[in-house]
Amino acid sequence: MKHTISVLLAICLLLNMILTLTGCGKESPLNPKNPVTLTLWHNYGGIMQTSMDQLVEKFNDTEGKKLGVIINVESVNSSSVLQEKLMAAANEDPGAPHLPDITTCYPKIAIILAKKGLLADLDKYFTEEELSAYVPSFIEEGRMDGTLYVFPIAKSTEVLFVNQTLFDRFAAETRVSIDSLSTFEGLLDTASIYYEWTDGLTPDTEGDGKPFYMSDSLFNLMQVGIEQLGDTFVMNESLNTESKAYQYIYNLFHEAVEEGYLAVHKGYSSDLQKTGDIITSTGSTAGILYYGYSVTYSDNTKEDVEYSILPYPIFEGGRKVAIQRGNGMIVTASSEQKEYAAALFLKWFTKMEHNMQFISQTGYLPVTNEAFAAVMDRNYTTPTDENICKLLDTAVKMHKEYNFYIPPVFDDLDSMGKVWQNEFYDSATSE
Amino acid sequence: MKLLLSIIKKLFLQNDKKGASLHFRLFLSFISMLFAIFICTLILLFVTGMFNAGTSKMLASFETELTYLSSKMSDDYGNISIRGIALAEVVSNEIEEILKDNYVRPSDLSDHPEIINTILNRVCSSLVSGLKQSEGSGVFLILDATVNPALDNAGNSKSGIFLKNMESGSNSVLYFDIRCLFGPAEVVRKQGIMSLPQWKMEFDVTDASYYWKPVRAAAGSSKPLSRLYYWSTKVDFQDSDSVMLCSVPLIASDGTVMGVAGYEVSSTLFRRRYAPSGNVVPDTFIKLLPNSGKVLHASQGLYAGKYHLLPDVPDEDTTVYESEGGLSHFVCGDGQDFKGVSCSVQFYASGSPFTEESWLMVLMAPGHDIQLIIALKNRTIIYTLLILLVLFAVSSYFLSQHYLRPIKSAFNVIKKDSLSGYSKMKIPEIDDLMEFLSTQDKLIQSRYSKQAEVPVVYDEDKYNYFIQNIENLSPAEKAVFELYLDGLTAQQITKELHLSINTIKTHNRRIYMKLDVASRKELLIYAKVMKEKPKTT
Repeated sequence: MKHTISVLLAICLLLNMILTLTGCGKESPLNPKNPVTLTLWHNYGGIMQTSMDQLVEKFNDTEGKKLGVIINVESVNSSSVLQEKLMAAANEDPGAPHLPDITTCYPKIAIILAKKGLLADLDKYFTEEELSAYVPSFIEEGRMDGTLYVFPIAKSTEVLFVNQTLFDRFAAETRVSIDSLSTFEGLLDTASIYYEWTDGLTPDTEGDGKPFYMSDSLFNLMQVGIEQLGDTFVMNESLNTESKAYQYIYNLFHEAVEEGYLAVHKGYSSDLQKTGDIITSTGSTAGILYYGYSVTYSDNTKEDVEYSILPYPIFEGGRKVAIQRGNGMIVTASSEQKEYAAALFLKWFTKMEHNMQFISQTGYLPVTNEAFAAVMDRNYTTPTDENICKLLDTAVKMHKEYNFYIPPVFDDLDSMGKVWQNEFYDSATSE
Repeated sequence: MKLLLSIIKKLFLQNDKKGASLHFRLFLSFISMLFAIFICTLILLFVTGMFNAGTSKMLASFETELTYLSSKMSDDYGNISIRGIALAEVVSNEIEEILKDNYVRPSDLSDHPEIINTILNRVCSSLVSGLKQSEGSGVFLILDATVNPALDNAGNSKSGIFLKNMESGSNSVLYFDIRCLFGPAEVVRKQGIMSLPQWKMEFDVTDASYYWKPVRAAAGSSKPLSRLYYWSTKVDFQDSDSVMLCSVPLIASDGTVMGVAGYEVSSTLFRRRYAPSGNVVPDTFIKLLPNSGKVLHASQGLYAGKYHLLPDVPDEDTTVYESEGGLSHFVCGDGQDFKGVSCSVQFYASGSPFTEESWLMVLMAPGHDIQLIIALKNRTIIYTLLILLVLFAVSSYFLSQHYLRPIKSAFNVIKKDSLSGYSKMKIPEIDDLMEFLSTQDKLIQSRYSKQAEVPVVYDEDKYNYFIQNIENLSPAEKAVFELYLDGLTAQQITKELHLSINTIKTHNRRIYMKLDVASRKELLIYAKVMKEKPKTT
């Protein structure tokens, strides 16, 4: 009996030791039996929301479940509303919500939050090897004073959208070439021809020619254009309006708007493309889903159309430069456990197959080198819209041939840009 | 395992040769008692419904959650209906004013497409403010008119506006991001509203119940708007979210039905608001669909649950069976089965022409998931019982062994004939017995030793008695007796017959008693005489 009791006790002690040792061996602060819940805000609404929701749910059901992390999407807002909420939360305005654990955020907002000490240093949770898998400029864009705060998850650039069906009809009668759209000068020349041609379609009415082109952001165009011509528009947190490049571009576009060759619209250029009010536009790659496959005219007649997606035009004699856009995700400074869990989610979300799933459904660009290679091979993991396929082909080509301009990050850049743009249009459209 | 086998071998082999040992009998009695307790426990568990506890608990949980969600949904939909009625009244007045200003009668609206954009521009702000105040995810207005009556299918092309709040899926009520799904571009741009990728200019109301049903119900009716609103089944607008629409007819003061207006509940909003918790069965989901008896038209309803379930969620005709335990059984056309609970939801007040169109809210989960969870719970009970059974069996073995140890020790002491050296075990019964045996042993030994000193005198009568009673000896006694006749000592006899000395002593006592001799010495004397005297026939 004594012998038996001794044996049982020894087994119990051994089991206890094994359990203790396995517990001691863990490095992760996470515990699947006691999962940590992270709140997430993002601005991928509308069609993109389904893609985002699917990925978050997939994470919760797989990696998150395994490691003890639950992502709770608390809020989905447009980027302007999201920024407003983040600022309200950061300033602790009355009635403001609490900052979430993870949120999409532009660098210009992130810098404000970082200065208040509200953001986690993501370098702590990524090894150099892990970071080397990402497109270097995307990582650099998220650094402020050398610290990585904004992690890239979906980037974009600007491209030229052309309603090829309507352009071909126009080109057939005027012999313009689509190659002329590779430069802004050629584009504006073509715009003037288009104006004259459409005016001619209604001989009884003079001066009712249609605009040919619109830029979603003339401010971005100006920044990029000046870079193409070897100068800089935004310097020392103010606008450099004295350069020759600035004067050149300003005058070129001012005249085009005055003459009616370029459209002026408060919304996005895709709105005008959908009604055939313009046939070319420059805008974010993420706007591709807004273009569709048909045009509806004001008399409710419809026409099926096809779009071409071309590289961003260059000013003559200038370098190939395009803007780098898109936000990333920031992690709110909190406990090590939550920050670690958030970093885990970011790694998972930007893993090749998940990154590919997201970009093939949204038109954003991949953020890892491996995903870029997959795009080049048209190796999509989910069925993809044909327009998105065309867009990604162009984006990849641009990434090989272009340099990318990253706008400077400071508080007033947004408002500065809006004021400048409004003044430009007011000036160009006033009689 | 080897230990277990050796224990079993020890128990059963021993029993087979010499009969059941005390240990085995005691172990058996423990085990029998244990099995009886086990069977009683199982019967008790069955009778009290413990094995059905999983199903009952699940049913209770489902019913609680369904009650909560259906109540919440009824309130929300009721509020949306009320706001839809208010919106229709406001917008109808605005439209009439514009028509009046343009000298157009309500009944002639469709003949004046040039006035459509003016109307839509005017009502747009009412639609936007209505959307911001409602619990819906979108607002719409559809006029009984088209901008281009000359087109094919113009009869089913209706001008109007459909605005969606892209922020409706969020928890915030402070932020709005309103985009246009339907509406003239000119009107939408003037209002500073961006259009959605799926934007179209006009509604195609071919077979659109959300338009025709309230319009036809209102035509010539004297019922108030609170009895004329209509909730549509699921509507899919080109590549956009599936929605349910609450349509209220726009009735002019002369009774002309000018169109409809109302609010939408998108599937995104529905999912966010009414997705079940999934605490009991993770893949639980909700379906809201028209109630048509035992066959549910699942494609006509909205869904709330996880995305990964969508491919498996019934979207075709589903038959309902009542099952035992309270959970209903839903079987789709493709054979998939689900289990859950349902309750009726009423959207209309009495007097509405649509009262008979009732709705069903169903909370269900895949049948095999539910069975798995119930089986898991029952399995836990059974495994626990089995583990306890094994533990009790093992402890029975050791307990019975522990219980018998003092008895065995006592037997060993007796066998080894070392009663004088016995040390008390503090078990009163055993100690008393051992003390008694020790005393008896001493008495017998002293009597034996005394008998050994008394000279034996031959007695003829005794001799005759001796001879006569040899027949009365038992075979075992006779065997001992004959060996004594052969001159063997008691120790030699133990070896010859493979018996213990105590057994020989017992035989001796009986032999002496039967043959009326006092000692072995006397026995041997009479035995010698018997040998020497010739046998008489």
